[in-house]
Amino acid sequence: MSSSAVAVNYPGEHSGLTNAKLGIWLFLASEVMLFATLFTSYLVIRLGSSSWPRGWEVLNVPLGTINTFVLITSSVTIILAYAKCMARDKAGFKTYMALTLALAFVFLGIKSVEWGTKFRAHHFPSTNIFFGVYFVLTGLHALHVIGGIILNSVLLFMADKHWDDPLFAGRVEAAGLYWHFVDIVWIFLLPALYLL
Amino acid sequence: MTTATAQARSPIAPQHVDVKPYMYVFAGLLCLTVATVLVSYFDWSPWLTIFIGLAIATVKASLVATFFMHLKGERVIIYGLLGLCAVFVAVLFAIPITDSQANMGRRQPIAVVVEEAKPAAPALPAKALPATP
Repeated sequence: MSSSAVAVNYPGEHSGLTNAKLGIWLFLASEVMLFATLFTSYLVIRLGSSSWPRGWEVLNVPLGTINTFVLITSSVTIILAYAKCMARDKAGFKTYMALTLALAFVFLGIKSVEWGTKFRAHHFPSTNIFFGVYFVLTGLHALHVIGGIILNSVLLFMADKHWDDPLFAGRVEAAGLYWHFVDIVWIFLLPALYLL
Repeated sequence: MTTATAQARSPIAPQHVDVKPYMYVFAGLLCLTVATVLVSYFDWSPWLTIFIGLAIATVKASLVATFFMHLKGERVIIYGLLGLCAVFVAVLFAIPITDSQANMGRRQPIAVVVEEAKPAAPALPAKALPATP
């Protein structure tokens, strides 16, 4: 193995982190700032509005709650995929990663049903400020889910070829960290939009 | 060579990961989600409902970050990175919300000026072209 490969693959002597892990945490920090900006905007708009609908009056709380269960379950399946990867159980890894992907598609399916219902009722981002905030926040979150689906799919299909690559487990861990972040964002979106 | 480095140089060796704590956290997250939904149905004051709802969400997010993202037992550099991020997020929230609260009673409605459509200018009568000699 070349010295450059060693530098990429193994933890630095001072930080104790691989490049992949440090990189994904830096990326997640930037993502935190992105969503924090949107949440701040939401709060300022809400505090400044003379009236604001209760989320459950205009949104489908049961579907939002089911989506929360789906996303939390997918967080567990991806960490089980990582555990199987560390245990060198390729079949187990592929099973749990495929489950994670299936749950991600279920989440997007439920979300598309919600959006479709809103569009049929002529509720668009331009309808009012509430729906503007709702579509922007859930839309950006859905884009992150799609990004996670792409990332996890690549890892699933790379597993056969790159299973013995020392970098592979680090990639799975980074994908898992990203997926948990997507879960955390939804954990805040549910009460902020649907319930409060 | 540090212990972490030595371990990482044999990444292909199987390592057992105890998944039982993840299952406990999973159960806790499901219970807290039910609690979040139930809280919204109580007829409390809006601010109390918002506070409790967001407090439960914060506990849930902390569980995910601590156990699923392995922040428990993570390297100091990650704590430093997230601490810096938290400071910026706090500033980001504090300034506009404080300003919004301070100007609550003095806020002026945003004037939206919509220009009325001007009537179209009457079409000029077509000039007769001079007859060519």
